[in-house]
Amino acid sequence: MGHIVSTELPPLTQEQTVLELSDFDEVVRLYRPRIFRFVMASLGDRDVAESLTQDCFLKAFNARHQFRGESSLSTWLTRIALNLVRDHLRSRRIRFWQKTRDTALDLVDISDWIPDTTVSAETAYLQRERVKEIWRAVDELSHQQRMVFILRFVEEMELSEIAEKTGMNASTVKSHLYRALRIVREQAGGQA
Amino acid sequence: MNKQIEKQSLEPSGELAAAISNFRSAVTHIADRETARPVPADWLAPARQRRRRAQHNMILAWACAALLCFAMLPLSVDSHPAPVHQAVVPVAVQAPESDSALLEQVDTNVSQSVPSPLAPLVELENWNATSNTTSSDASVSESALTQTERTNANH
Repeated sequence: MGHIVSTELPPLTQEQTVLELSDFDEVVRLYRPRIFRFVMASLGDRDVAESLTQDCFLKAFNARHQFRGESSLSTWLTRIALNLVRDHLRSRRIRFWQKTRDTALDLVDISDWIPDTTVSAETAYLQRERVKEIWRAVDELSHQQRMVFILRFVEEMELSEIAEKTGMNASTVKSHLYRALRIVREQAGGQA
Repeated sequence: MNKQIEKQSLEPSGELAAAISNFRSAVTHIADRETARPVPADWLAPARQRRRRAQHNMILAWACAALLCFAMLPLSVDSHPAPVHQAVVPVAVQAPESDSALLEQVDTNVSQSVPSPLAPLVELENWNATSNTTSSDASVSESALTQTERTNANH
């Protein structure tokens, strides 16, 4: 995983965070792609991800006066998004008869993605297939395993940061990550 | 050593690491494409509508629950005496049966024939009954005689 370039925004001081929150349009512009990515990776549904991203920023906007800057803005928004994803999964389990995966990411979306222009068409095809396998494997994970997996490998957070954002202790995070990786390794062809 | 093993088990390597890395770049690519459009001014309007609708639904659900409770209240009040009835009825049904059985038993006991050692007592009882009847007849004839004598004396 050494070749992944970190996209983590530099940490803000408390004053910067509070000032930043006063310009909410800027907050939306900065954090919307990351929140959307996290929700979409968690649920695999573009429309639901867009709705939950909106809900996340609306909640943050309504509660902006309660934000004291004790944690980073990113942590705060991620926590809101985590809760929304959890609530959505819970309600989806209740509304089991309702088809909610109409807009789920289909194979075209992933086929759209070109891994690297320098590789041959055959290699690109194989890479896409591997990505689909990972996606299917992630879909099989339990809610908590998936959260930890996505926060670690998509959002590239450290284990301590994941523990802080999810409210779990470090050993629970490790155990979820270990199980998630084992399942992904098994489901994605048992390689590596 | 343990830490190294732990790190290895939590950090994918080889093809899996490459696949997870590609998974991340695919997700990022899709997310960037979806959020590339500038945010419209009323971007949060659908979220507000959903929130309002959810609040209305919540109020409606509570109102329905309250109405249902009120509707169920008379039924629950009416249903209270029912167990008492059920408790009394079997006793009332059973009582005549046991009484009649008891009476039959008494009848059979009473109607039993008198044992032979007590036969003289029965005869004595019969005799008492007949003597009472004759003495009453005699008292009636005596009063009739005295009345006849009085009428004769008057004449």
